[in-house]
Amino acid sequence: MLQEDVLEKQASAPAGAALHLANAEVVTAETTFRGRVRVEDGVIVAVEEGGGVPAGAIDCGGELLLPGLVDLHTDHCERHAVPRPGVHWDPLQAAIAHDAQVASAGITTVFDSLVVGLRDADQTRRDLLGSIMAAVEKGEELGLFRSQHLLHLRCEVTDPTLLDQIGPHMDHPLLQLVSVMEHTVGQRQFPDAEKYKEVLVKLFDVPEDQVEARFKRDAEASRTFAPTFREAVTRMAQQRGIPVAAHDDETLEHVEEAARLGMTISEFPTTLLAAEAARERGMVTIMGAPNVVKGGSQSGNVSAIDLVRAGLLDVLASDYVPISMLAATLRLAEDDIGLTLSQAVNLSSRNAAKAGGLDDRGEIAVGKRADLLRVRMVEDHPVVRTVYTAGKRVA
Amino acid sequence: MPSQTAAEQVLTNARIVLADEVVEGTVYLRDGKIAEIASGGSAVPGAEDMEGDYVLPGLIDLHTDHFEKHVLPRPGTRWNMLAAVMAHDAQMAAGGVTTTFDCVCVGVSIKHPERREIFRPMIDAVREAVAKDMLRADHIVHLRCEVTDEMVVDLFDAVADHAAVGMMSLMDHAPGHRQYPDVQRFRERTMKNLKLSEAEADAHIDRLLSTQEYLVPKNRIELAARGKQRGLAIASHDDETADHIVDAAALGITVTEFPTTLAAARAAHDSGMKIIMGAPNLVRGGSHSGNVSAAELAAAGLLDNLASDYVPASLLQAAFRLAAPEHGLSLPAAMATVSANPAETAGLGDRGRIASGLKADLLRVATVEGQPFVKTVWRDAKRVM
Repeated sequence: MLQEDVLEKQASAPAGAALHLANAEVVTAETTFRGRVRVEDGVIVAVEEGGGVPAGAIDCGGELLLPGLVDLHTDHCERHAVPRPGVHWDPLQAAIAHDAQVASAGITTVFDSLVVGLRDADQTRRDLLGSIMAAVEKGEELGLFRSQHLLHLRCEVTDPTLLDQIGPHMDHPLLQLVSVMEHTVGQRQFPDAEKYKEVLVKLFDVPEDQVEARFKRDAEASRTFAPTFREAVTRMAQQRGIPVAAHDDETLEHVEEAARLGMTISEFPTTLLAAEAARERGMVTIMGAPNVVKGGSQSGNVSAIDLVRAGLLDVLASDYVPISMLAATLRLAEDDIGLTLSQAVNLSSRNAAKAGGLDDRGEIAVGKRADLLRVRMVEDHPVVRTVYTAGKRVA
Repeated sequence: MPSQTAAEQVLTNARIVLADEVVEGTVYLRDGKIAEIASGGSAVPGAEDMEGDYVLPGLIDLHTDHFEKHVLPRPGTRWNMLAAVMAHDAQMAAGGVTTTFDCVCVGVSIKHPERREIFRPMIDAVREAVAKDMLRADHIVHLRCEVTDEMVVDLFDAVADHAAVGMMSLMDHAPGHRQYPDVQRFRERTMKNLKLSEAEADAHIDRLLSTQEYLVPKNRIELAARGKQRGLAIASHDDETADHIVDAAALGITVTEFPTTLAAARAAHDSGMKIIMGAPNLVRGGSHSGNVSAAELAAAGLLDNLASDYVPASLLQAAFRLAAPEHGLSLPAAMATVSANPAETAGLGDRGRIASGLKADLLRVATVEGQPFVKTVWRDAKRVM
């Protein structure tokens, strides 16, 4: 079948047969109750309390009904494109596999996060950026995805070629989030030089005798052009109405700089101090869901749960494990942490949608897009079996 | 949409890929099984319109290493086993796989020294998730036994009677033959992966080489006997020479997975063994390590089964690739390498084809530019994706 056939079929498919889900534990932005949700043309048209199952409605058997999750940061698309070191997979097939993984994890809107400015990568790795972006656009155009995909470009300001690399991509129609990263030793994610050295050698295969030279090179970048790049990237995004996130903020100065430049999001702050400073300046704080599930940060920085306890966490993102998002959300609603289920779910849906500039979704409420999940609990494990995007079952 | 309890489900306006032909028509499902296949449309109210898409048998994957990737999502990070098996399961189902043989390594390798610790919890997780109906696909454990590990027989005994186990294979990752014919390359990998000095790597290699004389043959004999006793399908891994095949056949091994030379594949075929090759190899057009390619075996008529190996979605892609002009198989013949043949290889008589009486494990698949795209997956007639 050719592309045209697929497009034609989509055009001719019924615009959104009615969907009625009943006898569910409906989780709205405020509360949880036994009730029903009715959908027409992909939009929620009624949310009602009560245990009955009207004729024609689907009986959810008391399962949880949650809003589809909104994930502002997942690195998983890149992983499918390079399934093994040196093995490059067809980018469209990789995007489709990634899509299925996030959809089955309950994520109905995903910001595919792609790194720009891999200073030490070869040309093949660099070319991957454009080909993944094109594949995501194509998949969206042809309706091949289960979830909705947008793009998040992660810009590394210690790469001298960053601006040349990002320039051609800034007007991509799916670009909806930009973050600014600076990976140098002695600050942010890696205050501890020994730990950073270990990561470089073990994870990135940097030869041990070259680590010092690299530290020196990056520190110099940080002193010279990085601040200019940070400002330039932020301005490019702002001119296009794209939200900008600061990455791995550690100190008051980091947050002040980000706020001064007009960044509205602080992604993965590494200290309580930075998260407090972000809150004071009205910035939204994002932490990784794996951090919640694992009970702490892999690099020994402030934990997401500590931020929740301090009332400082606004948004969860799946980071490197798609299934972690729902698990982390439910974890935060357990007694020892004490968020209500609605408060916890808001971190992964409503707040995330808002921070990403999407106001048509993120909660179970009349008028919102019918992105919905049925979740069965098996002991403390959430099992997602049925996922709807815009009222259509996709997984 | 019919509910899960409906007596009959009807998939109509489909291009149905049967064992030997493609039929435009309707499939009737009853009680989780395929009831009937008819050409032409259906007047049954509530029939689901496949809009001309393919309806294919659910895929059967004899070898996927993907479960372990979810258990170890990053170096140093170990994930909850049940959560990991669910994530792995979703990926397999999305790739069209309705029966998956999840590889669990018994014995250590140079890449993953932690395997001795995680293999038992991985198997427990598969069994628990199956028992609690937490998974989309059917899951069976494939034990990959590393015969150079002096503890491998004890480790195998500890899990062999586990209800989840249905297949085993024998691997020998010593340098100088099979996957690592080049000792120097093996030395480099060993130093890098295990962070060993040159002297330490050499000691490691000497130990592995010393296993070849007595330990490896002994382990192979003992493990194969144990597998046969339990009725498991047994595969020999990375066979390189006709001698490897003779040796495997003598042990009653019926399958060779990922043979590295045409000679080994031909010898296996001639002695009635079934051949498994990696689907990524076919999709990428060659082996990662420079050995004989799946395409060459297909051209020689020696390719019985494909397995997804390290890319779950590769299985269906590879089948469609085999049906493209460059390989020239019919779509039914190509699909057999990922459904009917693996069912036979693993001894599963209740699935693998679209035929009345078999399990209603089915896929709805559209194609875009010749590439397959899984829209819907049913297992036992129940929609799971």
